[in-house]
Amino acid sequence: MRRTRAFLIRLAGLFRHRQQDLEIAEELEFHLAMQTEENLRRGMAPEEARRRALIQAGGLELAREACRERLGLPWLEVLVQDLRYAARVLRGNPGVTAVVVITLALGIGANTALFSLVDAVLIRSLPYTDTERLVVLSDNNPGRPGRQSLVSYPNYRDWQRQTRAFTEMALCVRNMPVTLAGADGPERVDAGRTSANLFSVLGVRPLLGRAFTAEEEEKEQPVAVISYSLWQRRFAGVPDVVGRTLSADGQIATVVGVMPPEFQFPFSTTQLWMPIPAGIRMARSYAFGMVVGRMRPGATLEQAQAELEWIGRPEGKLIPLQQQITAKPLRIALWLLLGAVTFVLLIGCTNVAHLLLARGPVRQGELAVRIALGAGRGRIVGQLMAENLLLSALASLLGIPLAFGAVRALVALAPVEVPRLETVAIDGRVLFFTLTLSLLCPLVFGLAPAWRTSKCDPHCVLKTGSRGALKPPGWRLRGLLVIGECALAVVLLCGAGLMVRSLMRLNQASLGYEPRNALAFRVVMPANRSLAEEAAFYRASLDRLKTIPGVQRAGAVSFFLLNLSSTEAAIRTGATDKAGRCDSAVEDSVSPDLLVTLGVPLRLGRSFSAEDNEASPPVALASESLARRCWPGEAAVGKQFRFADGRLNGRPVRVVGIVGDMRRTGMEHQAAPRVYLPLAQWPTRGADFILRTQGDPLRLASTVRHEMASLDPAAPVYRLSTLKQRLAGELALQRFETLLLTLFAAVALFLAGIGIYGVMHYSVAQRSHEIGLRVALGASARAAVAPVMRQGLLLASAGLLLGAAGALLLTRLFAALLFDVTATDPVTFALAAVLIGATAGMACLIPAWRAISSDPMRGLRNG
Amino acid sequence: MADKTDVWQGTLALMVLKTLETMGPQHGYGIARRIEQISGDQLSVNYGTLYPALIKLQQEGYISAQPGLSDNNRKAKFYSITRAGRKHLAAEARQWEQTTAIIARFFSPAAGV
Repeated sequence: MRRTRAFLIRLAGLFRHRQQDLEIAEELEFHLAMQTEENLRRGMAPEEARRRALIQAGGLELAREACRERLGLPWLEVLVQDLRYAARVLRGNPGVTAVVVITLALGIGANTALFSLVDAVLIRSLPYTDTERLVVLSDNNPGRPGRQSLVSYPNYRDWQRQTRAFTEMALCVRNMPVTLAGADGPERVDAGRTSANLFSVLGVRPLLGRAFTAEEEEKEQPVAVISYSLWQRRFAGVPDVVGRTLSADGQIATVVGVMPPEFQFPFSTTQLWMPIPAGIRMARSYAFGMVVGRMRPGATLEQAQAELEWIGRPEGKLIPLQQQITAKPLRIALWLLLGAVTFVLLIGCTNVAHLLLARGPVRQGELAVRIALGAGRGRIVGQLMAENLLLSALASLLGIPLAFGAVRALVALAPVEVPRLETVAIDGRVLFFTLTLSLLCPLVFGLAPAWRTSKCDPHCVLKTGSRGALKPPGWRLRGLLVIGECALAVVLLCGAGLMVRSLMRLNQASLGYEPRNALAFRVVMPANRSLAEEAAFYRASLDRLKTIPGVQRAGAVSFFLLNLSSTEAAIRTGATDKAGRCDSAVEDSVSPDLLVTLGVPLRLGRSFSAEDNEASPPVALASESLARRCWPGEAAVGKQFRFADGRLNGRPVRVVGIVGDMRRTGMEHQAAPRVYLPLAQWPTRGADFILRTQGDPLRLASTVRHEMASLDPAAPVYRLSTLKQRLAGELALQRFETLLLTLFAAVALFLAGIGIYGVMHYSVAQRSHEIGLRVALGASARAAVAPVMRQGLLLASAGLLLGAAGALLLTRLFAALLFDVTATDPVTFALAAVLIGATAGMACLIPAWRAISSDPMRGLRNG
Repeated sequence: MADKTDVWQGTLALMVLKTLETMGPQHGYGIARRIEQISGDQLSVNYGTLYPALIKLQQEGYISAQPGLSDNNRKAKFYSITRAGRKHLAAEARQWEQTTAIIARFFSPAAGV
């Protein structure tokens, strides 16, 4: 307490120097006068009295100094003094200052921008209360990482009753899209079906109104909680929206609450939350819902994990909600990018260190005088570090506006599935990060050069005519810097190269179908149609679509491309639906022409035809991989299987044909085994329509909409795009990462090249005397320059090897992002080595060439 | 072990406070003379150490300063002890007594047997 008081008073005292000096002088003078009088009283002569008094009192100057120090904060004053001097020094060298500030500003700005992205998406916790206690049940299946394990309603209720590890659990069907009808026309939106306590489990209160109650959930009353954007869009943001109704899939539901805008659960596109429909609540075997639980304080994840036995899911895994929302590939990718941009900053710092080292000799004169006057080494280093601190501060100030621009670019380029993208902003946390960077940077780039420069023997400097030594001072440090730069650049190049190859492989990988000139859209019918009506709808719409000029073929399939609602069927190849191998296959209901439309080859047997309908025996098509799995070594055509979930009451389904494999989700390394059922026998409420067109598919978009609308106005067309666009959307994240990483690698290569060039140029200049001497003595220009070149290339090679070793270690960290490329792909590494070698070679050759072609006499004179 | 100067400064501060408590308001010269007197001329107070110590005590709030006139009508700064200073002095005095008592026990003939 007392110390704080003293500190604050001393702080204030910084501004009252003149006043303080006067007071001190007065008081000391008074003391002297009193002492002198005392001496006079004792009988000394006046001058003797004064002299004695001075001796008795002690050193006057020292006393004044001591008082001054006590009155202010000496270290602060020294710092300020250093900074002011530093500002003068920097102003006196605008060129060097500008280069350093710009290099650092780019690095700091880029780092800030990327950190704000990483912070918003990964670090900042979700906007729920106590997010660390929220967990979800996830599938531990390594084949499908990130896929959630779903639970049925009765199992969920049992678990909820018995649980000891959770205070509350909610069940949520992640997406059951509904069609909203209304004055604005039909619109299909994503909707979640949840238990009533979802919002309280998450700890979020509605903005308006309330969540629905458990009673409403039990009684299955038609209530809904809507999202903020839905409220604004379809209700024009009216304040009395609670109590109004909306039509979802033909059913009238009452709006009971509105959620705040930042609430996006489980997806950013979810607009509506309604109770879980009774129909799917009954079946214990029908696992459809995601479980979100709030753990009891003090309960551990292991205890909760043990409870999974009760729902027969011991292999499942409970993971924190935070982890579930951001999938692993995205997390790896973002950290990778942040690491890469840090490398770029490090290379920038290395270049700055070069520059500072090169300036060293210029400063020797002034520093020698300081040392001669008594400055300790620490003081000199302090002065130099103050300059570095100022440079860093300036760079940060310049870097922050750059970061703002970079953030805008990042957000624009980033794929939509990056969660919480709209919260990416440069806020206090990010600025604190920038501050830390700007304080760390001077240490990184400045400490070694400052230490080196302050090591200055005044004699050797004040002497003139020192011939450039064979190894100019600081060569060791410079060498290390070059090696470091090269190594960092190599690592970045390898990383970028791997990503580029991976992307190329992805683009080339055979999909199993033809994505060009194909239009795709989805249609979902209202809920009140019978199966027969649905089958009829598909027949009619396909017939109608085929009549559109420009459409060569048309087909429909229950789900296409990446989605989270694809159905899986467990099939058994034995005599009953409980016997024989059990395999799970992705199940698709397809129209007869779909596979032909997509260009999927028929390998054996026949495809579906119009004769395969509700009346005829159940048939199916199997993909090649399914046939290999379930009937290895035999011809699968004619074989039978049964559904393990009891469909058809255990009656067998006959395989009538084998078709080629399709890879339908972007990063699938192997095609998933698929079973195709006729749409006529298994109609679904909604389907993706695929049209093979002549020429640009989008030209037909409006015609298609018009035709489908006239056929059935209650079933709107949505998600219309070309297949190529859909594919591109899937690869968007890959492309984003690859683009950024390549950009960073290019910048790194450029900076490293400049750095090496700078060092070589400097080396050659330092040794120009020696070179001139050699030439004068008869050596060819090339031979004279050779030792310098050799040194440069040697350093670059050392850097290359170090970088390659580092890359070998580091690239396996993001092996998960690579497709069909190993993390230690030799081609990529070789290419990176060649690039660095070429850059280093050029950076060494240019100064050498200039040295050779310059006048050797100049070199001799220079020494 | 604290630096010698610090220890000296610490004890000097106590001496100043005790002096001011006993003598009442006094100027710097008077404090210096008094301390020298009490110590039996074993200590000589250098004004390079005294005045910084006075400043520190002021900053910590244990003494306060007012302008005044000395005996021989010179302008001077008079220091007086504050309430906080008195409390601090009392606490420190207790501490000293305890320390010296413990050390004395080590050096007394009865110890170490």
